[in-house]
Formats: sequence, C-alpha cells, structure tokens
Amino acid sequence: MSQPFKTVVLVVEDEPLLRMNTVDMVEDAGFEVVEAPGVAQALKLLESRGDISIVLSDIDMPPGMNGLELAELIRKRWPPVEVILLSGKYVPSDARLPKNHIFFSKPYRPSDVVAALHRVAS
Amino acid sequence: MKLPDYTFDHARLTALNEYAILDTPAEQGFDDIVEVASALCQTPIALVSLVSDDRQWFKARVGISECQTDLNSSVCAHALIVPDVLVIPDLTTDERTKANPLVTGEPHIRFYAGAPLHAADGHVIGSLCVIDVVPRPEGLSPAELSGLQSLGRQVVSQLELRRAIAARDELTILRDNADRQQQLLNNELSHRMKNTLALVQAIAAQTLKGVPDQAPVKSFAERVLALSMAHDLLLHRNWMAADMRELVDTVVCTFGDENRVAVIGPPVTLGSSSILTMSLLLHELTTNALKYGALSSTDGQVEVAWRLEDQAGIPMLLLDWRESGGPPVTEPTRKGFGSRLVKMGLAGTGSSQIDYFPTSFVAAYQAPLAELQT
Repeated sequence: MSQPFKTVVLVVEDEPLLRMNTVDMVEDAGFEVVEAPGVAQALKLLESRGDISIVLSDIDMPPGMNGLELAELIRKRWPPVEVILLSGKYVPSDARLPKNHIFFSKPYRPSDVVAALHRVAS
Repeated sequence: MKLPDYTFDHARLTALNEYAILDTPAEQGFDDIVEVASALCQTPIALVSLVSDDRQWFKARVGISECQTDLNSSVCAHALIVPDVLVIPDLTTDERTKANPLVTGEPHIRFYAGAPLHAADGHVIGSLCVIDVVPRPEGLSPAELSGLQSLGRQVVSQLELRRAIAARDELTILRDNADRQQQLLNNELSHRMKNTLALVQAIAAQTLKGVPDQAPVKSFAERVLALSMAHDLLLHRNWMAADMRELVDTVVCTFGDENRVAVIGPPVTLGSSSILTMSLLLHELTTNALKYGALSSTDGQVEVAWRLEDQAGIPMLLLDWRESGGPPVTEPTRKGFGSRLVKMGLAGTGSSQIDYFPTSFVAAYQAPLAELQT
C-alpha cells in the first residue's frame, strides 16, 4: 500500500550486497528509498530531488569522498536533511566522528537502525 | 710535503664516516673542549679537527674563522700517525710543514701540538690541536701534554655519546613506525572482518527472506553481531586478549537492558578464543532473558557475577548468571542451538550447571583460568 507522504531515505553504500540489504530493511520499515553506490551519485540525487529527508550512508567508500565528508557537505548545503552514518572501520567512541550525526558500527543491528530512522523522521 | 698514506686509509675513513659528524652544526660539548684546550696551553688557536680524504673539517674552533681547509694546509694529517701527541715547536723548520700555506701565508702559524683522536675501533680520525703564531722551542709542559691527551679522549667520548643518542633515536623511530604499521594492519583487518560479517548478515537476510518464520533469521543475525562485537574488543589489544567486564558490558548492554543487569566481578583478562565463545554464550543468555526470562517482565533482574577461586591448587574462573523476578521458569523442551550454546560453558570444555528453579533461572559456569587465557 503506497502512502502519499512517505519519508524519503537515501541509502549510500558502495558494497552492492549490503546496499541491497539495507534498502530492503529501510523499505520494510515503511520508507521510500533511493539508493546511491557512492558519494558523487548521492550528491546528484540530493541536487536533483528535493524530497530526501534522511541520508543513511556508509563511511568507508573509496575512492574520493567518504561518508564523513558527505555528511559535512549535507550539513552545509542541506541543513534539514538528517544523516545516519554506518562504518565497519570506526567505533562509536572515535573522536573523528561528527557529534551531530547518528552513528552505527557495522555489522549493525537492523532494529537499532530502523528505530533511529523512525526517530529522526518524526 | 706528502701526507701520510694512512690519511687515505679506507678503514680509517669508514670509521670517521660512521660518526656522521662532518658538516654538522656546532655543539656546546665540543666548543667547551677547545676553550679549555686553548686556556690550558695558552694558545690563541685550538681546534677539533677531523681529517677526511680531501679536507680537514673543524667540529669546534677558537681563534680561526674558517670551518675547514684542504689537506694541503693540514698539519693535523701528520698527527694521525704519531703514537701520542705530535708537537712541532717551529713549523717553519719542520720538513712536513715548512711549505704549508698557513705557515708561509696568513695566519702565519708557528707552533703546533695535536693529540690524535682514537675512535672506538682504534682508527685515528683527526686531532685535538692547539696552535700558536709564535714558535715555542720548549713545546708543551708535561702537564699540558697530558691535559691535551685527556681532552682528546673527551672529544672521542662526546663523539661516542652523540652516536649512541642518534642510534637510540633511530631505534625509537623504527619501533614507533613498526607499532604504527601494526596498528594500521590491525585496524584494516578488523575493518575487513567486520565488513565480511556484515556481508554474511546480508546474505543470510536475503537468502532467508521468503522464510515465514523470521525469528531464527533474526537470531542468526544477532549471533553474528555478538561475534563481531567480541572482535572489536580484541582489536584494542592486538587480537590477543580482552577484559571480562568489557565483554559482559558490551554484549549484555547491547542486547539487554543495562538498568536491570548488575555486573559484578574483578578485572580478568581472557584470551581471544574464550572471548569469542563467551560473547556467544552471553548473547544467548541475554536474549533468552529478554524473550522468556527476567527481562521479559517489567521488574525482573539479572545478576552477572564472576570470581576467581583456587580449587586444589588450580585457579578457576566461576561465572554465575542469576535471573530473578521474572515469569515462572520452565525448562525448554526443544534442544536447539541456543540451549546447546548455554550448556557449552566458558571455553567449550568447562563445566556448567543450569537450573530452572520455579522463580529463577540460574546458570553457573566454571573453567580453569589458564584455559581461558590461552
């Protein structure tokens, strides 16, 4: 059943299998999903459509810009967009992680990420 | 005048190069020595002169502004082959020096005394010399001679000290680099392992998507997650070990409700294999408590307590998991993977005692500490 005003979540993940799985999880949680395999494609989507309200992004995506830089850019150019970051490299206590974004270590607990999505969507 | 052949001796030049001293800035330790030598022998000029194969270079100098000369102007080269101190009372009359440009021209030097600098391996790398612009027929007094030799040995001590410090610094840098490299590798390995576990999770979720009962799929994903957390803990100590409390806190607090779990026990370091086994065990106990046990009701409590105990001379780790205040407890009839994990014990070999009392669930484990730390 499609609702007229589903919250749109942009999933950014370079690993295809993980992206597929994350997209499924976010869709099952009742969101509309757009996906990007990298930062460049994510920025194109953010520029071309104005309805993205949450970005769920992996941090470690070679080459070029990583998820942390993407989050920084989003904060400057699209301040209302919420960012949730995922990484297998960083741990939650890492000082390099921005304080104003939600962070989950990979592998993550799907229910934790879904709860965070609902929290920032409301 | 021809210079001694020894000036160009390969082993001697190697010994000099090993000090890595040529063309280095002035240092107080050497400056002090030439000051003292000049005062001791009452000469206007004193030098720490290091003789290379194409020049003599002064590490420290008083009374002369040039920091080096070519070997044609070197008197010190002749000091390389004398047994103790080379003394030339009048440079204008000595065969070795009368044509020396510093004697025939500016600054018209006349008197020379130089103590050879013996490197640690016995080679002579230069001299500590004092020079005057008037001849000294009487040369140096015995006290001045012995003083000049002592100061010469001090020059070599300074060189040795300098070399030892440089070697130590280099070692420190090498060790720091190796540590950094190791840390980088560990981080990279952890990153890859966690990504692989995330992939395993995704593959399981996708493969088992159509299965109507998703509970086992979720259990699988969470067990993988517990394992991944244990890997994170191990990463902090180079994959070798982690602390019991850290493990309990991490697993129990991630999956359970930390406000209703009391964690009591001394610091105990566990080996990597026990950490991995125990992460699965603790995860199982926690999720069981959430589904059926104390954490499934509103007021239930869990106590996780461990202690070390000596049993017949063998140090043992005893771990008790106690639930209370939960719904009535019944032993599960189905012997699934979960209950086998719960029975498996601390290291897969230790003993376990699982009791389903009507009002509480108690799991008691013990294993020799040595087994848990390998």
